[in-house]
Amino acid sequence: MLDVGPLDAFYGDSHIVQNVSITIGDGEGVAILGRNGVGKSTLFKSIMNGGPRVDGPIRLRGEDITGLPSFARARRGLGFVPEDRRIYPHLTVAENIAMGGHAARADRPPYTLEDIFGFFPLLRDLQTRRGFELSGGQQQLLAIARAIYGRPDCLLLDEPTEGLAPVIVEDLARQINAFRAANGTACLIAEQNVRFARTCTERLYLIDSGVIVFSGTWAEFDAQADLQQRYLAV
Amino acid sequence: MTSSTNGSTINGSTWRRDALIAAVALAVLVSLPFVANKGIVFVAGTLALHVVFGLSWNLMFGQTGLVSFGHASFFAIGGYAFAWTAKMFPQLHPLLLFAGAGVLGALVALVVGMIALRRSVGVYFAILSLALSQIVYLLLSYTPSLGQEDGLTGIRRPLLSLGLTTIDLARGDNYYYFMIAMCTLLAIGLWWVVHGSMGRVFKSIQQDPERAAFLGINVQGYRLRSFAIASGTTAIAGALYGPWLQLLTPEIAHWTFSARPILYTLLGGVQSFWGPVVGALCFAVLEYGTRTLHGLSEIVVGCILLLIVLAFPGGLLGGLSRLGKRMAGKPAVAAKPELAR
Repeated sequence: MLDVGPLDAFYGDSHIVQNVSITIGDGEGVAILGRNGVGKSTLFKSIMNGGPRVDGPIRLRGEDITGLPSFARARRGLGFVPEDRRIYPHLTVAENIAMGGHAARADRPPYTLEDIFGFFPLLRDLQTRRGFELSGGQQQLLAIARAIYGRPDCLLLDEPTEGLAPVIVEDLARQINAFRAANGTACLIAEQNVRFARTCTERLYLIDSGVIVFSGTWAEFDAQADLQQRYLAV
Repeated sequence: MTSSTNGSTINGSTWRRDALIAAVALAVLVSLPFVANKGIVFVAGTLALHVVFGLSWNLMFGQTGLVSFGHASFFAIGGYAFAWTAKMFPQLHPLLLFAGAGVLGALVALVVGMIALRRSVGVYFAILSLALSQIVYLLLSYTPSLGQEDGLTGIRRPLLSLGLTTIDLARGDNYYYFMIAMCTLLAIGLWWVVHGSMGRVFKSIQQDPERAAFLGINVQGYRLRSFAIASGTTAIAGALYGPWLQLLTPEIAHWTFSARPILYTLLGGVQSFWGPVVGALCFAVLEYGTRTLHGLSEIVVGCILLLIVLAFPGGLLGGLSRLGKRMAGKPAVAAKPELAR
């Protein structure tokens, strides 16, 4: 579905992402774990062509999308939820969701608002609220709903649980899983919250200082006890 | 920004309020020739053109986030294109020529925009647009068939045949009324763009181009559209200017003329659709009021503008709406603190 790399990404002279290769199969859930500042967000922005200078191929469903602008990648089925969510503060929840329709294609019409409220029932009660009246968790939910609206083939979630209360994180994991199970949407999640990542994905990559240091299933990850200590403990 | 953004939601109240304001303004403009002298009518007609000039610039700036320092070049392109073709091909219908001037302005903007907007926005685009306007200015000043620095003279107010009847725009106040009608149509067009779905996309790009792109919006394409629409409307305003003044000089492509819509917008308020209108009106009143203070006029106008800008950082309308809120005792809408974050 999505084949990235080997990829290098730079901000100015800083070599942030170094020789990183990632593959995501159809409908597969993959996590990228790593501490703050190891290049997770840069990798996501590289996949979307949203800032860093990128060197290396990116293929989506076999099509080479290297060099395509961000909007064209969104329209080819990459639903990106940036770390800072970027909700429209002056638009209502329903209007915010509808903005996701810009990524829809003729042969792939967007969901209806009803569908979205089916996946995230909480948003139904909030639909007339404006963006700036939402809590962090509600904003995160809304940002994901907006990305889903255009029926992406692959969701890219950049630290979705950052700043959220534990109760909300559990709900979020359940809802994302329910949505993906129903629609076969692949998903790439950058996280520091191992528990959340484990609930939502089947495989993971560990990244440290811009380099991939481990790749495998969760069982393989658990088998090497020192990994978590070495690369994730704060 | 986070709180109230001028209520740009397309709901009944915005529509009705704006229609009412427009109706009052139109009533004043239409009745002016009956009550005021020729000098004031001339100022009012010119003001109508400047209003379109300012509104179209603010479509780029306030709505799309593009700063142009060379908007006057499109005013000049439209003006000269109309005047020259009207002179060379007097048999062509004037409405066709006005439309043609608009299309030419939009096409030039498309070509320039495809190059200038590719990589550069912000200051870079501002400088490129300034360079464009200086190129147009110099071309006009050196082209013999366009009158060089003396300008194009003897531009006639045409006969307007409308199928059933023919109106001689050279007679009485006919051209004044024709201009008011055209400017009203252009302003309605701009209002419609701002408040329609395209305007919403422009606004989204102005707020955060990156977010817009992540959501699948073709940012460059829409910037180009905004630039072309603004330039096309300005070119039509410029085309109307020639027969009004019956003279065109390269001065209308000069950067000092490009500064006008910027001034109008900042003076009146960026956030409101009516900002450039209020700004242009203020400026016209100031200019008219100080016209006899020869040599002193610029200083007086400059000082007053400085005062207004310092006293009302959000423009006159911005200051007015803040004042209104304070009078009503309503606190500015602030984000409610929420628990989870």
